[in-house]
Amino acid sequence: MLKYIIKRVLIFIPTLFAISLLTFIISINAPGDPAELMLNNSNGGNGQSSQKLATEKSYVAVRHQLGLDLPVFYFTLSDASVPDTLYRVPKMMQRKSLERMCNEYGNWNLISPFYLKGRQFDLALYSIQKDSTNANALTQIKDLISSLLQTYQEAKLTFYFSKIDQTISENPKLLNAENAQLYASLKESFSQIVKNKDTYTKYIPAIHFYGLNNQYHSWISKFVVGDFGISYQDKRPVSSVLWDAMRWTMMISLISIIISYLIAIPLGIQSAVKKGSKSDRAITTSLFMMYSLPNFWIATMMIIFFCGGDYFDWFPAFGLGTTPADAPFFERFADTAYHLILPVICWTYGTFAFLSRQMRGGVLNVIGQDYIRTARAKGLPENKVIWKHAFNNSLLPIITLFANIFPLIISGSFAIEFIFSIPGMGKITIEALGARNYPVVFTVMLFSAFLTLVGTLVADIIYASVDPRISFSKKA
Amino acid sequence: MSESDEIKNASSQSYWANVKKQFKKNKTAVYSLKFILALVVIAVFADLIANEKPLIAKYKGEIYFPVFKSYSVDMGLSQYPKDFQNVAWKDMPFEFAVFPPIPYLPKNIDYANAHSVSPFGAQDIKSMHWRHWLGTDELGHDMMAGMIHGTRIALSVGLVSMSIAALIGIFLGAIAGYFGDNRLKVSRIRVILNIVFFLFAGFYAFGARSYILSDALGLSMGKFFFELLISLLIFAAFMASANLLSKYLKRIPALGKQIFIPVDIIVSRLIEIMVSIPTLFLIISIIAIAKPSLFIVMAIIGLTGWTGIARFIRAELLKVRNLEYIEAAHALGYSESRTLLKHAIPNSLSPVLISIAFGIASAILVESTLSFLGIGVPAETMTWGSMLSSARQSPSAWWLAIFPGFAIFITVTWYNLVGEGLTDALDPRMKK
Amino acid sequence: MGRWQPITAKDIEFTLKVIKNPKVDNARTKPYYEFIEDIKFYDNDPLKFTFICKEVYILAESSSGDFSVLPASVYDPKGLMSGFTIKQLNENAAALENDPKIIEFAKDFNSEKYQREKGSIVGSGPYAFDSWITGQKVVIKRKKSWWGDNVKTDKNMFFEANAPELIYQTINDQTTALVALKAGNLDVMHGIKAKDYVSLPQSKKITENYNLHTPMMMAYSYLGLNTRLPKFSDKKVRQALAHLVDVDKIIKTISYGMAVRVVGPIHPSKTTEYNTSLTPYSYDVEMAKKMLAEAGWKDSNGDGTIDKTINGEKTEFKIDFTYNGGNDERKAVALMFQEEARKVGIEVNVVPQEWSIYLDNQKNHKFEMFYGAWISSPIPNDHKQIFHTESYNGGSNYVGFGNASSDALIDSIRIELNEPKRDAMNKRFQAILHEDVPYIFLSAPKEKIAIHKRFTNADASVMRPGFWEAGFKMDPNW
Repeated sequence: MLKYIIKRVLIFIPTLFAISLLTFIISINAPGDPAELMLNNSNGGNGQSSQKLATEKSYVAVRHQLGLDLPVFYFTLSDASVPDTLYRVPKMMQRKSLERMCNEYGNWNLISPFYLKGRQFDLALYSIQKDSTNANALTQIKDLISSLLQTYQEAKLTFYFSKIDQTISENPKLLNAENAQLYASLKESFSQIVKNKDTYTKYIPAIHFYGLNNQYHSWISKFVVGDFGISYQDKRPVSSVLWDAMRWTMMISLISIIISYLIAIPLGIQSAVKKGSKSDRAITTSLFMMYSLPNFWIATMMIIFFCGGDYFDWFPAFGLGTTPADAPFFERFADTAYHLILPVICWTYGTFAFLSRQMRGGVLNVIGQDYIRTARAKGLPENKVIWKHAFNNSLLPIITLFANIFPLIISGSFAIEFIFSIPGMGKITIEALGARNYPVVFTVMLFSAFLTLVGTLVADIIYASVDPRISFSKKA
Repeated sequence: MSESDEIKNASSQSYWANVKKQFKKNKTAVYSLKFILALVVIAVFADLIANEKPLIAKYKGEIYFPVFKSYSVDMGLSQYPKDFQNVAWKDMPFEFAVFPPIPYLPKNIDYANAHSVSPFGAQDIKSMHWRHWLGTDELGHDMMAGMIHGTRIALSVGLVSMSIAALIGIFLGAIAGYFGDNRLKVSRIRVILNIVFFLFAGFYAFGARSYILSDALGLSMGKFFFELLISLLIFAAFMASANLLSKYLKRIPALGKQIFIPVDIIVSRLIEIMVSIPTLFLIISIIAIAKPSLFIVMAIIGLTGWTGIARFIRAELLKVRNLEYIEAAHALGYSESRTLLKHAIPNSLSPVLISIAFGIASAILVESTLSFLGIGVPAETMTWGSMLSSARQSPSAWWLAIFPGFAIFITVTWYNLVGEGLTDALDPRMKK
Repeated sequence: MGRWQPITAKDIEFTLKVIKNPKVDNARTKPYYEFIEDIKFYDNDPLKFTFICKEVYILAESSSGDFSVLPASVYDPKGLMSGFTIKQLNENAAALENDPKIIEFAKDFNSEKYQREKGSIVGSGPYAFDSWITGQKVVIKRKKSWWGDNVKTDKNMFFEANAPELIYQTINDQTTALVALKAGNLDVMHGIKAKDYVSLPQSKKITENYNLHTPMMMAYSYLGLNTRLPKFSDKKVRQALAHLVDVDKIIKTISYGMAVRVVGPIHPSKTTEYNTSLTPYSYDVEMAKKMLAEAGWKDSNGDGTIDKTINGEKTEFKIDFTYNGGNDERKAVALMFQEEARKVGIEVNVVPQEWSIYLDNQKNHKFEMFYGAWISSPIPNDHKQIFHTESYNGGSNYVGFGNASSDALIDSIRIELNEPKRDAMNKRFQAILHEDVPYIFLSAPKEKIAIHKRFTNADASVMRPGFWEAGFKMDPNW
């Protein structure tokens, strides 16, 4: 038994590590670029202009600030055709295109100068003075070069080059000697790439090591010492953001769990004792009915009917109360509690069914045992039989259940928080996901995983130590 | 059949007959099952009950069966005649036509009755046949048609997701419970070869082919499945050769040494990892990559819901594997896989059945929550969940909320009651 | 409080220096002030200053007045920025990134203190920051003495600050917000959905206690077409699609009549610039069919969907119409378009997308057709960001509109300070857009506002958000 416990605790750490890896991989690969989102959010599109270079500079700056310009992990597994420096290319479309070029042509030593020359030429175009003679041509070429830097297919690239050639021949004064030279060498490197196609390197697996300077490491090394980073959405420390939200979620969850247990356990026992009777059926059916009502809908119905709309005005419709922070504690407490009544009801009513069923099962398990028959035979009154003897032993499934409910304390419910405008963990998490707010997302995920693992460990230990039918060692 | 098989079959026959008898005692559960079957009938015949096309129609002297033809058209096997393409069916000049009882599909927009018309109010319609019996929604979609076709979706969401969950859960839970940490013995060389070949297989089957696969996904599902098949074949080839090689190499004593594979630890950790990652997070991340489709929603609910089933089967098998009839099977010389598949698993299915019943109920609720969040369901599809979710925006239009809400509520309750009935029926103590 | 000090031109300079500090976290706003190169002061008048700008620009005046002035005493108590000039920050930004004073100032400025702490958020307006509870509310309180109270001439409505305290409540759910309104928990609500707004007069609680307003909103919605795709590259096809959109029915069904059709990016209220001679595209399915046939789209294989041979391949006409998931009104427009398109044999796939992906796809031109909207304002329109070809990569020209002549027109508009000349140019620009149809323009919506009756001086206006809450006065008779 002890060996089992030690083994489990030791395995805990690699499991946590594996979960952190998984969460990280899934989030990073989700489409959507937090840097772009941050830059885009304020632009109401009212037509104000911004210089191209300024925007590019901003983009690179934001990426650097968010730490997104580091390699993703300690190493990557890929094939021999891809270099290990690709992560430095800031623009995602260009980076992806370069990856595919490597896959297509296999000769990075030729692709790299091609790309660099392309960027140089692109920049050079922006310093050409625009006037009435070359406006048309200049616009066209700029466009073509931009597309060229994001393309990998040979046919398309050839097409773009031919169009650029055409534009240049129609406007001989467009490029000065230096730029013309640049363009010629760009074209040359492209034809080199095509001529020296190498289709075999992509079949050789390769591992690139990046050492400790990568995104995952920078995140997890700070996480284990309690530095959860800065939220992308409002630049506050993640710990402040989460603490603000967790207070409310924990309050609602704890109250909800207490109420749930207080109601479900007696109902479950009653159901077990009077098994098969009308009251058993009635309790079971009505609890199931409560479970079947989607909570987002009940929440809205309650607000419409009870919160001062066109019907009753018994409860506040939203939020957490408007008493100022300097009011006496009891006043604030009462106001907050008043605002939490409906949310707690919505959160709790669905859980009765499951809990009471578990209790019922546990009690039934015990009631059939011999020692209960003995107690009855001895003449003990029924309620003493139940509460004194059966109850304790039927608590086992409930205790193990509590261990599993543990992580729910911080996860909150998005639907209820959204509808009642309570700034809890559910809302923060979903909104962070939408904004690709990695620091918040990771911290919440890892915390929740940690609590789940702890809960499972405790549940397993309790379960194993009590049920003799389960053997963990080899049968002799 | 050998004698032991006969005896075993005979005893299992009476086991299930007994279960049936116990189940029937629970009137509530029996009625719930009957109602569910009625829903299945509605789901299967939805196209005939609510459709914009007529069942039979006579046009220009010829008789047509548009509803039945639509099945073959949808499968790509045939086409409508030119006169019937892209038309508004209800305005067609048929000589004679029999429309289904509800002459609407959920996607039909009825501008004349937009802005949520009540079932009891005045409606702008041709005749009583065209009445919107359950009202319309904001854009004029018929609620009755939405409810009927929504039945199909609700039931399939439950079935598909639970089938996926059951397949994965039973497999993983069974091997974890049956083999534990110290019953699966494999030669050392086999383990090493498998791991090494697995990495290479992953690289060549999926890594090097990742662009081929993603390009195919963009072209069509058919092409994608074809390329996926090739990848899987490459993968299988690698793994097969790994195991074949090991068969020969394990003759060498140092390599052939048997080690124990801690199946239970691995599977339990897998379950823990699965449980620790919040489902919503997984769903949102996966749906972000793919186009909204019901099948993906169902697959995800299944892929995230197998843990409960796995845990139950694992617990059952932990008890069962020490029982006498398993020892007997070993003594008779049955292979591990045969013992597992034919004897151990079938006798441990009871908690799985219960899980499935409750799982279907919860899958329906999960789908409605996902609709509330606006994820997963394509825009034209009306599911009970999406109807209930949009009903929140129009509280005065009670018919938008009551009907789908009631449907979800009663279906989930029925499934739960059936599950409860199964629990009691399968409970060994009940036989008394 | 001894902190309140008179505002001078030096504070303007300080604010610009903060904006231009290369390490300050304002990547999105920095580019908008790039055009200001230097500032000139006048010894005889501390309130007078001149901006030296890089180029002539129609929005120079309005942008220069468009930022909040920050006091150096609060935001830079150590005087770290005093050693730098605007010119320096503009020209040597890259080098200055390593300057320790720049870094120290930015680190402090970027911290949480200036977002949440009372007393650290200080501006030149009539109200002072009181508290911000995340996800709940923001509270601001009227300053006891404000310089604006003593201004005698040139007063406009923004100088009126009568409310002693303003509380901005965050309510996520529309339905909840409406109930709160009916319960009397809110004094002002805007952004009410059309469907709900129409039903408000039926509630006695509303009619007794609230005034309802629908001022015009300076914004417009449109359907964007990816003009670089082969199927949309023919202007005739785009015009045909425009004939499939029944804008009037959309306004009637989805906006409940509370919107005005627009033919271009300029708001109808700008009467001198709005091109009234352009005829909006009529809803005409037959015309659309004809135009599509003329553009080469026919149903050659009898499957009900029109097709055309493009680049040697037979292509069926299918469109992926994307919108941001969760927005029911946009979904309704998409579904309506789907129905109409079916009539001419075009298969439309309606695809809701998550907001960040929806934006991402537009920027990377990975879309076919989408529902979009832009917000504008009474200041002159600068079309560069949205319609110039330079804005195709990196700007907001997602649809790929434009050629050299439209670019030249946009550039001329940007620097034309003479209004009648500019108006003529804008009318020409609208005509170009109207014919080219990179956007199918839909409508400019009306804002829907409810304001409690106990306030007077509470009229609606066209300036966002549609009302000036600070100016409200309590009605003594209520």
